[in-house]
Amino acid sequence: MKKRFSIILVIISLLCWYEISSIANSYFVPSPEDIFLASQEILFGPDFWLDSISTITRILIGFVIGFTLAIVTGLFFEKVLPSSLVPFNAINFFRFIPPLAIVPLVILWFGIGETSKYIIIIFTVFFPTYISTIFGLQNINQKLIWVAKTTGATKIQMVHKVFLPGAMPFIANGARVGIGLAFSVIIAAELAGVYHGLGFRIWLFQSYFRADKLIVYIFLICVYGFIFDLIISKINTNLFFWGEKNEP
Amino acid sequence: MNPELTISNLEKSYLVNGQLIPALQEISFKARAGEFISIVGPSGSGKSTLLNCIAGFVQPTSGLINLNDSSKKRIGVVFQNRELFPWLTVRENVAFGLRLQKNPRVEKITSGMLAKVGLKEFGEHYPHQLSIGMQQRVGIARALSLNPKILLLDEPFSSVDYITRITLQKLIVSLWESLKPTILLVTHDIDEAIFVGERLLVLSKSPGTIKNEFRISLPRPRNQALITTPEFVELKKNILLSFEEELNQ
Repeated sequence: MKKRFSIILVIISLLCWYEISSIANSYFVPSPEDIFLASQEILFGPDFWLDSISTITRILIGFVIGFTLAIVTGLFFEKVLPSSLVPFNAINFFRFIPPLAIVPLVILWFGIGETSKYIIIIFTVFFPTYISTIFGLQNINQKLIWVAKTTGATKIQMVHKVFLPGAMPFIANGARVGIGLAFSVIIAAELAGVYHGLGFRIWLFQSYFRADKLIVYIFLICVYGFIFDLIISKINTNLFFWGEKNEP
Repeated sequence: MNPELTISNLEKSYLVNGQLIPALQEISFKARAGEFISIVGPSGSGKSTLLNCIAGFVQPTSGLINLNDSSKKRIGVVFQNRELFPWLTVRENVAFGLRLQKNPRVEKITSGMLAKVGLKEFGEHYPHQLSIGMQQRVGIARALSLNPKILLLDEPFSSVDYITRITLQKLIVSLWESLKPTILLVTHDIDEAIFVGERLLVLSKSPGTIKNEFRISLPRPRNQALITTPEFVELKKNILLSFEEELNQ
């Protein structure tokens, strides 16, 4: 029933799209066959792979740095620094900065090159990962910490035997949110200063009035985002099978 | 003989909404090495708090807890809700402390402990794949793997069914007989407290204080038929009578 309903929905949407494109200016509203031709051109063209690799590399580099930084900072604030020294958690204030708002500032400070792209992604990934690290650490079963203490565990042993694995299911969920945001922010960040990337190409197609190719790239971003999300959620369920709880 | 554990005038209060609420008051007792002490009391009598103070998990408000030098840092704990590391296999849970202490005989000791608690075939399972009773066996094996001088059991059998509870009680007694740690078992099950222990302390309701003490001189080895013998019933009656105040509320 549900499946049949979605098929009907897809057909109706395609028909509407076809109808609208036949009356509208095809520069702005390309028809389904325009899109089909454009995607053929893109998939077999020279720029597609380079654009994909450039954008994904930026996201991955920024992600790995932002992710690591967030976990280290989270551990520091939650487990190393005595709570009396954290009267006001500045990070909780700055996390409300929309990543897009810092794009102009980052470009001012770091130029329009690759560095500024990484920094924007780091900034984007940092906060959701940081918040979930803190939350994960606070949710570790106190009794597991006690059990570990009876073995005479050192602080470092506590971190990698109890705190990190205990918080990991939460952290991974934060990372999942982070990677989603990274995909949306990278498009804006690639507005200037680079010559390859999904975002760069989208802005370029806009200036060429190639709505057909632009739409194909938007679709590509969805595909990549979806694949990344799938990979992370697979990792979540396989590696952190006990879920967001520390009690059996 | 030098006592393993001496507790004198222990008090613990908690700050609740700006008010100091006493949980334990004037607790004093001694445990000799290798003794099996059961502690019973109604809910909220601070039984768990007492164990947490002895283990060093919470700081007492006042009073002294003296451990024999050799038993310092050699305390094992088993909690009511198993509290296993869910990301580790059964074997790795038992080996947890040994690995942290870089014990070279970790594999051998772990296998030995798993065999002792009857989980030899379940080493590669994860905690969530086991029944609650089996999980509690893992908890016991993990606590004993470091060969503790003092073993603190915080209502370890209260979440399992009646039959499993009896088998776990017999298991803990046989482990105690072979390894001879000093055991403090907190429970609200009077039958259990008598069945396993050598001495029984009765805590009053909040704030908890020791209001009675019984010596359990029933013969060993004990089996479940014991709980129907006249000696057992007589002892249980006396213990229950010490709860008169709570019972007649």
